[in-house]
Amino acid sequence: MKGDSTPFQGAVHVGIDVGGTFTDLVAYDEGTRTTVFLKVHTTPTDPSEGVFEAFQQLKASHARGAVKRLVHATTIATNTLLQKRGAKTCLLTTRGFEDVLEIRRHNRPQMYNLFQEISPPLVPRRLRLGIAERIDARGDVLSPLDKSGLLEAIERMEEEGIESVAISFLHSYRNPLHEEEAREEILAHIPQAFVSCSHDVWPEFREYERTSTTVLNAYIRPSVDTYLERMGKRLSQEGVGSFSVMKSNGGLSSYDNARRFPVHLLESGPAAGMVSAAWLGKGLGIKNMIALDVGGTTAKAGIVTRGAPKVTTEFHADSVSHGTPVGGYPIRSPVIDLVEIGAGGGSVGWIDEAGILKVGPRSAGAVPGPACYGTGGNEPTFTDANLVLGYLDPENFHGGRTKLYRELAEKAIYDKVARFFGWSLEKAASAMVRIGRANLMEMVRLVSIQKGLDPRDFSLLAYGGAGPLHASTIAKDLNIRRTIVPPLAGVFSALGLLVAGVKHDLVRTRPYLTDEISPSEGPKAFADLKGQMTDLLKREGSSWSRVSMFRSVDMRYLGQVFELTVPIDGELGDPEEVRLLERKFEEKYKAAFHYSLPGSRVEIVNFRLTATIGDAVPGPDNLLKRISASTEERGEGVRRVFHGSRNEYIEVPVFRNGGVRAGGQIPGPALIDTADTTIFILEDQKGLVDERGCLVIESK
Amino acid sequence: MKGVVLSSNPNKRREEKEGPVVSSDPVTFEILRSSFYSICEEMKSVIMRAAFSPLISLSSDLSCALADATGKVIAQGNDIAVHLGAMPNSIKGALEAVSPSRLKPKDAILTNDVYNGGSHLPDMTLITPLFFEGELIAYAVNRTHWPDVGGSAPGSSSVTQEIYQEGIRIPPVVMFKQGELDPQLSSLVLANVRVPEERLGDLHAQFAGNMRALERLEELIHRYGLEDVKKVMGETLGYSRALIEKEIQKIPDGRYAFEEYMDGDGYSAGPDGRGLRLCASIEVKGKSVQVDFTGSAAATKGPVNAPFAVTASSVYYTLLAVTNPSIPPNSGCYDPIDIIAPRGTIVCAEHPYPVVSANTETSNRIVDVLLGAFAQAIPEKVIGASYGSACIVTMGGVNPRTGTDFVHYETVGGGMGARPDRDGINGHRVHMGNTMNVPVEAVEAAFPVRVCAYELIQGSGGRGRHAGGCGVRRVYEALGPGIRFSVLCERALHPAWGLQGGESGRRAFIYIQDSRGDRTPLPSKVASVELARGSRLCIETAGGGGYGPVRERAEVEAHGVYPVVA
Repeated sequence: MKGDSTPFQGAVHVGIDVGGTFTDLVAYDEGTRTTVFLKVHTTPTDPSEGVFEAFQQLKASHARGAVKRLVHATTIATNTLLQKRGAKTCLLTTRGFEDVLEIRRHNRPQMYNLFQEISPPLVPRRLRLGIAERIDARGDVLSPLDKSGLLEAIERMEEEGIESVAISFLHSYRNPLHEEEAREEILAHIPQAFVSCSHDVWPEFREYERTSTTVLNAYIRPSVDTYLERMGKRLSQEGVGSFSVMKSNGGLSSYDNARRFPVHLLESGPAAGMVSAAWLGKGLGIKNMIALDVGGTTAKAGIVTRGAPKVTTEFHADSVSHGTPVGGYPIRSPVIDLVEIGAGGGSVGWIDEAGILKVGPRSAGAVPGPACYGTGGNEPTFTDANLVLGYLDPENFHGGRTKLYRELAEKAIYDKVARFFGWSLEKAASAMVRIGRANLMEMVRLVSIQKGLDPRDFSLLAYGGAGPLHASTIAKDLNIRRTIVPPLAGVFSALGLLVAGVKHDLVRTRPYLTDEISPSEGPKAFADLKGQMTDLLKREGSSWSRVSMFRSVDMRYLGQVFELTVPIDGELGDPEEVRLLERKFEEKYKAAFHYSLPGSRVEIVNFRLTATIGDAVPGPDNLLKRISASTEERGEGVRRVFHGSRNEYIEVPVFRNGGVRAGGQIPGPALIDTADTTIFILEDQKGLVDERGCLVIESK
Repeated sequence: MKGVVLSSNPNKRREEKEGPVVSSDPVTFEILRSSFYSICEEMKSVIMRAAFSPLISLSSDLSCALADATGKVIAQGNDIAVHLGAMPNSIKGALEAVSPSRLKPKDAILTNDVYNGGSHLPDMTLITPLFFEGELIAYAVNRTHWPDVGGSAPGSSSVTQEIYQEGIRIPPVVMFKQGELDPQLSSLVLANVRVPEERLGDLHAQFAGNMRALERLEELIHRYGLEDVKKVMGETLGYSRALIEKEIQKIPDGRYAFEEYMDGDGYSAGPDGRGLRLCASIEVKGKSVQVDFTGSAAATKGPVNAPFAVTASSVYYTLLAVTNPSIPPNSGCYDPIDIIAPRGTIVCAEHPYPVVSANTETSNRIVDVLLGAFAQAIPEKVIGASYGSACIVTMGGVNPRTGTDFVHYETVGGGMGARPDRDGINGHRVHMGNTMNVPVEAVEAAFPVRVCAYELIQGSGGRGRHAGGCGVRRVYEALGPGIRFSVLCERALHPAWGLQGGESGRRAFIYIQDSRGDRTPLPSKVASVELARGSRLCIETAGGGGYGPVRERAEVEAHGVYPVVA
């Protein structure tokens, strides 16, 4: 694929995913029906350089003509937050509630650590300004917005040179009047300011979470805006037809919308991976998958059920610092649900005070990296252990792009592990691999078993550089029948950019008891949401005709503190619909908690509206090149790998990506080296290559 | 009947032999050991999903543990701190009452006995023996907070005078017999609690959690063999013990004593009006620690008397916190600790003294006393005193909008003590508990109450090189008639002290402000007082103590709200 330079002939779709180490580009040409990928190094100081580098390479090799659309998974929002390089931001609150942002939900992320850090508020106390005003829970104004207080606050903002302002008043989800008045006044005085209002960013009740979401939006907005605006301009000069961005919910957004609500971009990259997984599953006819993505420093696992990635409604950004939980910054809005742990190729092996071997969570990262990279690292990592045992080919790692030094790996493992226990090198390396793998297995348990899902009902989809080597063992130990390694495992996330559609979620809190709601209230709530959605869709350059809409409401028993989301077809304009809704809620409650409370009063809390625009998405048959058929496979040599439980070296046939053809069966044990990963098939398993190049591993 | 409890650890085993802690293959050991802890996590997630009570599902007010065949806790989830010491004590109490030889597979013992290993009555412990091929190899245990266990007030939590007002007391009884719920025993229990159908569901959820532990343990035995699993169970105790002993050895030998006074018990501020004396003398000798509470106040009328398990939990928590919080908790790491808590005092409650609020108030004050003692030995590992409370505010009455009764229960954060290297955290839950606050917008939508302010009290943290965390002001206005409230708080009389020259934090202050603006101060524990319509209840929790002399503070302004003088 890479290196092939057939010129494109039709409309071209491009996806660019910026990761920690590499920026991946995937392009699809409707004319020749070919998919091309390429990888360049990420440019951390200005990630757009890497993006354009990849784009120019594509133009030079294939796409001399116009590019129809470009979809981007960006790290700009996350990096702005992680590096705390956001704007000087001011927060306006109801007077007496300036500290809600700092008090949080007042619990702590670690039980026993007296020295724990808590994520510091993004706006310091002196820039959190209270304004006298009050609206009650029903939206009635108790006291008007204090104009002179507001003017003083604006003066303060001007003195401080504020770039971005967040406004979050109590109960603004119910009545946005005061937030709107304040915004108008601020813009009249400081026209260049970015103003984010909580009723606009996420109008849901619970003041801390809404304020946190709004503050984060304000904090990262100027930097995201500059980045996207520059990129948009340059892309249109390059003749790119449309430019959109992947959001945390797995849907796309025009860059115009993305600039206004950058808080929805924080999980852009990981979301792309899960969209990719769901799309591949659909193509393969597999509904339930556990997606496992193992990179250098972190491993992520997510769930696809009935063809869709699992979504959650709250996410804590930046919640882990140096491997320990620090609380992070909650964001309310649908986000693809992922579990992330500090485990990967760079995880360091070490010995604790009682003499027990551990692997991770600390990672050697990209710098200094595993010892075997020869870039100054001297601690033994998971990758070093895999190399010493023979699972990795030092000359062929990352498709030969990274040379590995076996002797450096051996020295690190000997010095830091083997010598302590008086073990052979192989024994020490096997021990590290077993423990590292047990950590990954624990994570798979966490997303499945601990959430009430039985892994036996799932297939395991493994991608990312370090995942496929251990996936077959993890699957075996958790009784997962089938493991799938997609082609292009190393750029698999970027594929998701080509297949995603536009998706916007809106919410509004309007509490009504179901036995009291009048026939006009439901339709009114949905009409409000639809108005807001129209505004968003206008900026997508889309008309209503192509849009699919989904309505739902969040409900609970009166007096409870949590809600269940119940999808609905109508708008609750007639009492029959409301009765039907009550029954649906009861069923869903019973399914979730094994009981219901018939006769108890039920409350609607939030109204939700989701709009999607599915573009003509190319299916896997188009995107993944068909490969020629064959019935049997022969290895291209053997590699000596150390078999931990037999305590001896065995010879394992090695296959090369490209040499394996569709329909080919690979009996285990076998190793398959591809351009960006290595796959291992156990003795009692066999691999089957399908016509799209997916490797399906099952027991013999 | 005054006596002395000599040992905290009911299964104490004094092994002085030296040698490697772990003789199993270290890899098998590490994988099995972490599996035991993940079994506890998995039990917890089963219970949270299956429980009827949203309190359990959402606040996760529960703890899970695995014990070996002798009842020693070998693994315990990273759960509620106040349950730490309660686990081993409850198992011991249960196995004394119900002989293990009588137990059959899939039996389960239920108990909440506060005078025999319990913490307070709403905490229900369920213990299931795990058999493999007829051999008893372990116990699965979970302790789950029921939202109500009867007694004088809904929620079973208010200012009481004797245990009978706090709810039903259940000595260890075999509630599940070979997988079946005993219909007669359960009907007796459920007849004594509010909303019995939900509690029946919670009980089944607890049993489902223990059954999950059995399944997981069987899987481990099939993969690694019974002998290895049993061996690692034993070695896990030695492992945690070795880790804590190494930490104790780093503490200089010596005797370190400290004392303080609690505010009172809701009826009076102690016999001499100064409050209730809490004192501890810690003796560190080599690898072991003895904590002696002799001299602490006699048990009192109000519910601040700590059951022994609560006192023990506070000791274990503090020791882990000032040494190495990442040591996996189990009976092994409690082994080197002796606790002397004289019976009939507020650190070792006896029948029929009320106990319900020791869990949230006394426990946190005990931690501060222990920190004060440890500060003399290892000041670099200790923080200043904190607000000493969970500050529980309950309100109830009739909601004029709906005409129905309402009860509301919430906690208010406060100042954490300053740390040797950084400020204390502002407006924060400390030490023994960790549940969340209730959003202002949720309170106002549900109850006839308006929250007029929810903010940090500027300058309330004790000044110092590092400042104590600020206390919190939360102000409620009654919007309807006949609203009654209770408050359980601390440090209105005695402020949180600083360390190494750091200053004390501001005291807690609780008062009513009527519609004319006149203030009526209240003590820190208030039982069922009416708040007139339009009047405001103002809660101001204490600030944390500072650390180091204030003149050493580099920059005051850079730390935002911290101790800028108001």
